[in-house]
Parts: sequence; structure tokens; C-alpha cells
Amino acid sequence: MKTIASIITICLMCTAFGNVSAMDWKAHSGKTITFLMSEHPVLKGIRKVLPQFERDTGIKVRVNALTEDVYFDKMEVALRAGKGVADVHFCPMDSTAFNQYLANLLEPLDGYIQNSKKTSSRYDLGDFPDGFLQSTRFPGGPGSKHYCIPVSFESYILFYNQKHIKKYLDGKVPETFDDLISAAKKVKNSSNGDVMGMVVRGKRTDTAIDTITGVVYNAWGSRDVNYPHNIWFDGNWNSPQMDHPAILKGLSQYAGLMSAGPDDVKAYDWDEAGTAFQQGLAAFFVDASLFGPWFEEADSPSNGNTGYAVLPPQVKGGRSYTAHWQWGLGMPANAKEKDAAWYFIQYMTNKINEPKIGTFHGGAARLSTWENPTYTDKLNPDYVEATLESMQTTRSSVVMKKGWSQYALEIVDTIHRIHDGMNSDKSGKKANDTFNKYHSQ
Amino acid sequence: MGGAKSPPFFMKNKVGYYFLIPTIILLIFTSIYPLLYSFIYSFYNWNWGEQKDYIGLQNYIFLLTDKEFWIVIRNTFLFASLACFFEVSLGIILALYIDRIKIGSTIIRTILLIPLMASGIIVSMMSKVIFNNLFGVVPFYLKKIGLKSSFFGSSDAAMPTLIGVDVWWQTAFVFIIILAGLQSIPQEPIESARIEGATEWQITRYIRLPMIKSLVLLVIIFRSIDTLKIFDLVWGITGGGPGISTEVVQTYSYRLAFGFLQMSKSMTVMILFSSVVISLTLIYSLIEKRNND
Amino acid sequence: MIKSYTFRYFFPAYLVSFIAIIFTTLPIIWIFFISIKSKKDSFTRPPKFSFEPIIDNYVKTINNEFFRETFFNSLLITAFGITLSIVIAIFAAYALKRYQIRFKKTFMQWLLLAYMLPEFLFVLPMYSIYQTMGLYDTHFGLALMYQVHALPFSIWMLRSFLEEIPKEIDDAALIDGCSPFQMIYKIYIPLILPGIVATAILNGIWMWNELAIAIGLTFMEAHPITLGVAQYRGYASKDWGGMTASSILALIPMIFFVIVAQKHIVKGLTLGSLKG
Repeated sequence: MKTIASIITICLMCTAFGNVSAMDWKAHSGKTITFLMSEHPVLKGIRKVLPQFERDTGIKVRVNALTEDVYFDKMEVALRAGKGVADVHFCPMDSTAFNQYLANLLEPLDGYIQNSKKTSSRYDLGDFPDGFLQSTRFPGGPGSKHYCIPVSFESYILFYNQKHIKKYLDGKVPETFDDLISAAKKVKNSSNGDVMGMVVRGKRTDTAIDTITGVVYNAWGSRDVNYPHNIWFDGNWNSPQMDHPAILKGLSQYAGLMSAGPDDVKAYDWDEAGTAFQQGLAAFFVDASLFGPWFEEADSPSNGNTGYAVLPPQVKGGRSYTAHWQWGLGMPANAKEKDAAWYFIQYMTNKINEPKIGTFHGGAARLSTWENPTYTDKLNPDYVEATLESMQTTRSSVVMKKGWSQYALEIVDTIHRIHDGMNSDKSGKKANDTFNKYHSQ
Repeated sequence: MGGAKSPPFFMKNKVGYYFLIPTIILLIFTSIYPLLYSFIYSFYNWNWGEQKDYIGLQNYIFLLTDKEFWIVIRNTFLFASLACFFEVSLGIILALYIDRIKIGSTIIRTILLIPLMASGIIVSMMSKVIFNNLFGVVPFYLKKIGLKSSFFGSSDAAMPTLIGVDVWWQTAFVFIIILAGLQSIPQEPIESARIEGATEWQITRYIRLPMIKSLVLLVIIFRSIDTLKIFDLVWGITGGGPGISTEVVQTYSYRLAFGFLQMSKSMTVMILFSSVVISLTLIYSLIEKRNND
Repeated sequence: MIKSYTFRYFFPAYLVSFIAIIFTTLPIIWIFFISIKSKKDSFTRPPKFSFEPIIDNYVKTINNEFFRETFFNSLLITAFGITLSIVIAIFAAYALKRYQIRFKKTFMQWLLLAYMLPEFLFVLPMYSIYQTMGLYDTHFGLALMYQVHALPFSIWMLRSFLEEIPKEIDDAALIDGCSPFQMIYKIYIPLILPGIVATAILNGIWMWNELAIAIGLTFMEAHPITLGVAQYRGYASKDWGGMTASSILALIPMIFFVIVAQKHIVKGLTLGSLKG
């Protein structure tokens, strides 16, 4: 009896250990992979973790990092190269990745995730909120596969300069969105143009669409956001609804933000707007939560003076809504070292390393990370609170349409027309016509 | 002086062709092939994916009937003509004066060349920082004297400001070429004219300028092509905005290719644009021919 | 009499130079100021003219490995590119001037066509060829691609300068019976040295500052300095100190090159006037 018991115990123990050691971190030791990346706070985090990765796996990593707009061009060309040049890349999880999926440029990851020899049993994909994973699945709907793993997200929130609020607004943070616009205008006028009420992106570029979507979602409220069409279409690519009252409200509010800004706001992209706020030249700033760590840098004038809040709701005491956007790690279909690449992706996005990397960008994707003091202790608590609050009502700004950037640019133009004085309904209807024109091409 | 060893007659011209061979090979490789590639793809609907269907002249028809395309063309030519005009005039004037200087001329020339040494990114960043309403020096001091300004933020001011930036950046190009030309012309006609009592202006007008006429034409050709091709400044500073008041052909084409992934359409724009520029060069050659005859 | 003439001759020249220098250098000086300001001083309102300068930005940039790499890459690429363009162009320009080339007019127009093609047109077609030929991501490959812009320019320029040479010198050289190589080396090059130098400078500057082709045809090994400066545009932050310091540093090799090259113009001038 005893012998059988001990044999069974030993067998059970073997199985238990067998499971744990089914995946061997050193399986691809000696290989070299190339990581194509943009200059992003996530990279700062990854660079910190990289030496440990190389020790744990024996895989050498060549990091090729480029500034963001150059990166986007490089990525498109590299994914289409005859000979693969990158094994892992930084994946913008929106229509960009969708278009790449359509062109068969991305490697599906399900085969790796589900393979116990390639993925540790502790990986726990379910730790990512489904809303985040949704943007990684193409074509969307049943049978879709995952094409990247979320590595950071940004939601659109309100930043405010505490000193200016105290000076011009008696320390009161506006409680509704329309109040925000009038408060910002008040700051602009009271300071005789020395301090801007608000800074936002005003430049004509399709990349501003996500921030805009945040403001529009806040006006869209609790209505459903149905993918892939998102709110801009009424369930059908042939039915754009740019003149929907809620959408017009959101777009007009964004135009209002612009009016409370500098006269040349149309020349401001995120870097001018962010710099203006960081240098204390504006009272409010509406944009990605990711800017938080920049404002908190030790030698930034905005350090210690920045307040964080969700976008003020439409009615006092009401719910605030916003949008979010994500970056992920993906694998090009033409990658040469796919298994080693997967190890890298897995390592950087697992429960141990995401918190470490997350302290650099403040936009961790895993739910467990937000409860992990390694992560939360390093960040400004107001920032954490505001971001967590925004996470509760945020929805992805993704529109899965081929050639979406053109439509996005038209949405920016719609706002600019309103800012220039055109009636919002007219501007919205014009956008509808343009959407239809693009769609019929 | 060695013996009169002139090469045999039949070899004379051949040598000329041989000297041209490296150029021809390089240029076929780097210019004909990409041009053909783009030309062929302009007849398809390739959007950088798997779909590549032949659609004949559809891209051309679409662009030629598109209001936006013509605004872009108008912007480009407006920019090019004004920028080129100011750069060539200012460059020649500068060269005429600096030509006189012997002491300190190296330093002066080097300093005047510095803007040209800056890359498009640097000049863009510089302009944004200097003209920005909030943290720029220029609007700040203009405000002090009561002038409200919105350089890159207003549709009316953006293009003139861009032209001004390009003039700051590229005038040195004209300057250095014309200066080199002025320094290569023989000095005797000038000396004799001076002795005869001609004024400096007369010498310039009747001796110097005619002698560098072909160089001036050359500079006009290159500056006009370069300004038509403008990309860095527009993309870096205004992104084509506000609205499309500063969108030019290259930024438009780039946006189509890398922004909207409409490769074929982008190439069609380039082919159309190239045809326009080719016609320009034909006009220039006619002028040059008349010059030389 | 002579004194006032000299004054009327030189004074306007120096006055114009002075004004031009002010306009030219003001923006650069402003950028330089930003590069030595600390973060809290960079964009104050009103702009600060007296502040405590720091050299941290420069130290940081020089210590930045990526920036250093791109700096040296650009030196190599530009050196290759200039040499290639001048050498090939001299022969071509000489041939066009001296010999009856049947397709001369078409050839010159083809040169202009190649010159005017927009840079990013080349990226896609050349990408796969370059990968196959092993030229992708190499200094030489990039220098080669740059010839599509530098060669036409150089040939047009050098030919123009050659045309300025009076016919008598041409004829004298022919009678002398020198070989083409000797003629080019001994006679023409010294005569048009200012033109060659101006061309080399302009080519060098263009290549040093080129971005579009570099993005397309390099990957890691041959990244030029334009990308090194661009890297300071972070994602959700902008390192103005780094950007301005790296921009100033990027200007320095060009300034050196121009000063050195110009010494040769002076030399060439003395030769020219003796010939007169």
C-alpha cells in the first residue's frame, strides 16, 4: 500500500513539475531577434527589463527605435519587405493594424498562446480586460484570432494647472463640460492672453482622432458603441451619421476647447500643446493620460502643480465617458525568428514585468498591475485615481475600416469648419457627403 | 610641351561617350526604374495590400476632376514662384555685395551659409518655436507693440510665413553659386571699364550680370524645381494646414501613400506633377538655347 | 578721391553683410539659447534672455550612443556621396562641353527629370532591389542612391562653369595635344575650382540633411544624423533640450567643411587671376 501510495505521489509530483517545466525559457538560447519600436515611454521600461530578459532566455535583442512618425513609415515598409527585417514590432491597435491584417502582414498569435510548450501556464491572458483584447482580435466576431498583445493604453482625460485654477477660478475645477469651456475662456480673457485657458491639438492631422473621439464619447454618453462601425456610422458603412445630435455636440465642444486656446491653435500638434501645458502657459489640457509621467518629471515646471480628472460630464453629477487607445506588441508575418519573438512578447507582457515597465508610461493594460504596488507606488496618486476612474467608462476608439485615416481627417476638418464659424449641422452633413464619396471609391 | 599627339579622329568622339557611361548607368538604376514602376502602378488601384487591379485612367480622371487636387497645385505653384523669386533676387544682390569683400570674406560667407546647413527638421522646429503664439519670441514682441499675430495658425498668414522661412533657409543656395560665378569671371573687362570711368552699377549691369547669365538661369531652374518639390517645411510645421491652405503636391502625395495607403493614387499624383515639371524644363531648355545662339 | 571711392565701394558691402548676418543668425542663436537653458527656463513668458546656462543637454547628446553612431554614419555617407558625384560629374560635364554628343539635349533634360523626382518615390521600388543586391542599410548604398539628386545637379553646375571659360584657353589646350585626363586635371579643374567647391558644398549639405530616402533604405547600421536629431521627439514628451542641442551639434561638421572648402576657393582665385 505504502509503495503504491508513494508511486502515485511521485507520479503526481512528476506531472505537477512536468507542467511547470513544459515551457522552457531557455529553449531559444543563442538566437538574436530585432525589435522595431518607436520612441515611447514603453521602450524606456522595456530597456530596463531587457538585460534580465537576455539573461533568462539567452536571446539577444537588437532594439531599433525611431521617433514616432518615422516609425510609422518604417513599420509599413518593413512589414512588406521580401526579407523580414523585424521579429517583433510595436503595434498600433487601431485601423492601422486592421489594414495590416487585411494585407496578411501580421502573424496570428493564438497558436503560440495556446501551446503549453511555448507559453507559461501563469501567463493568464484573461487578466487583460476584454475591451482591450477586442482591439487585438481580427476580423472581429467569432473565430477571430489575436494579432498582438496589449502593452499600454491611454485614455483621454483632463489635466489642469493647479496654480492657475486657484488664481483665475477660485480653485474650482469645472463640473460640467460646458462649464469647462467657459471657465477656460474666462482664464484666457482674465489673463489678457498671457495664460491660455485650454490647450488641445488643433493641427490638421488624422492622428488627432483618438483625442477627439474621447470628447465625442463624453457627449455620446451611455449609448452603445458598436464595432466595427463605431459611432460614426449607423451600423452600416453606407450610413454615416456625422450629423447625429450627440456627435455634433461632441464635435462642437471640441471646437469650443480650441476657441479657448491660443489664436494659432491650428498649428498645435500634441507636442506644442503638451509643451505649453508643461511650461505652465495653459490652465487646462485635454489629451492622453500618457502625458502624466512627462508632467511629473523632476525638472518639469509642471511637477507638483498638475491636477488630473476625468472629462467633466455633460450634466452636473452625471457620468463621464471617454475613449482609449492602445499599443501592443505584434509579430510581423515575415519575421525570421518567430518562436524567439514570441518569448520576448510574452516576457514583456507577463504579470511580473508589466508592472515594472508600466511605471514608465502609466498605462498598464493588465488589471492585476493596477493592484500591484510595484506599479502604483511609483505614480502620482491623483493620476492613478483619475486614470482608474476613466477606465471604468472608457471604450476603444478603434474603427475597423480599410482606409479609415481619410475619414478621420474629414472628422478633424468637420471640427475645424465649426471652429471657423460654420453651423455644426451643416458641417456634419458635409462630412456625411464626404464619407459617402470615400466609400464609393 | 610634348609632341602634337592628337588621338586618331575616329576615337575623338567615342571618348566623350565613355565619360558619360558611369552617369548613364547610375541614373538608369536610380531614376528610370522608379519612374517606370510608379508609372505602371498609377494605372492600378494598389492600396499597398494584395489587391492590384488594372483600372486604366481612373486615378487620373479622379485627380484631374478633384477640387482639392487643384487647390494643392495652386498652393504649390504660389509657394514656388514667390519663394523662388525672392531667393534668386536676394541671393544675387547678396553675392554682388559680398563679392567686393576681401577681408573677412570667408567668415561672412560661412555664416551666411549656416541656414542652408540646417536640415528640414531643424528649420521646422526652429520656426515653430519662434512663431508660436504662446512661447515664441516674435509674437511676444509683436504683441508688445500692439500687433496681433497668428503666423502658422491662420489660413492667410501660414503660406506667406512658410515662404519667408524658405527664403531664410535657401537664399544661401543662390548666393553661393552666384558668388562662385562672379569670382570666376575674368577681371580685365572690369578693370578697363573702371578706368574708363564706369560706375559700379554700370559695371554690374553691363559686364558682370551678362557674364553670369547662364548661371542665373541655372539657379532659377534649380530653385524653381526645389521649391515645387517642397516637403520638409510644410510637413514639419503646418502639416498642410490650417485647412488645406498650405498643402502642397509632395505632402499631398505623401499623405495618400503613407497616411491613407493609397499607393497607386499617390503615384498618379507624382506622374502628373512630373509632367508639369518636365514641361517647365522644356521651356527652360528653349530659353537656354536662345541664350547660347 | 581714392579714399572716398574705396569707402563707397566697401561700406555698402559690409553694411549689407552685417544686416544679412543678423537675420541669418538670430534664429540659430535663439535655438542655441534653448539648448543651454534648463527646462523651467526654456519657454517662459516673457522669453528669458538672462538665465543660468547649463551644458547638460550637450553632455547628454554627446553621450547618447545612437546620436554618436548616426553622426559618424552621416560623415561616411556624405564623404562617399560627394566624392562620387564630383568625380563622375567632372567627366560627364567635360564630355558634354567638349564633344559632339548626339543626344545631348535629351540627356540634359533627363538629368533634370531625375533631379526633380520626389524623394519618397524611390523608397518602394528601390527597397526590394536594394535588399537583393545587399545594398540595403549600407553607407555606400545610400551614397549611391543620393546620386540621383547629386549627379544631375553637379553635371549641370560644372558644365555651366566650364562654359564660362573663354574659348582661347580651350583652343590653346587642344593645340597642346594633352590627353583628356590631363586637360581636365591640369587646366579645367583649377579654372573652375570655385564652382567645384560650391557644388561639393551644396551636395554635401543636401546629403547631410536628407531624410526620406534614408528612412526608406536604412535599417540600423546606416542611420544618418537626421534620424539622430529626430529621436528627441518622444511619444508623450518632447525633449526640447535634446532636440536643440543635437541640432546645433549637427551643424558643426557642416560649418567645418564649408570653412575648409572655402580656403580652396581662395587658392583657386589666385591661380585664376595669375592666368588673366
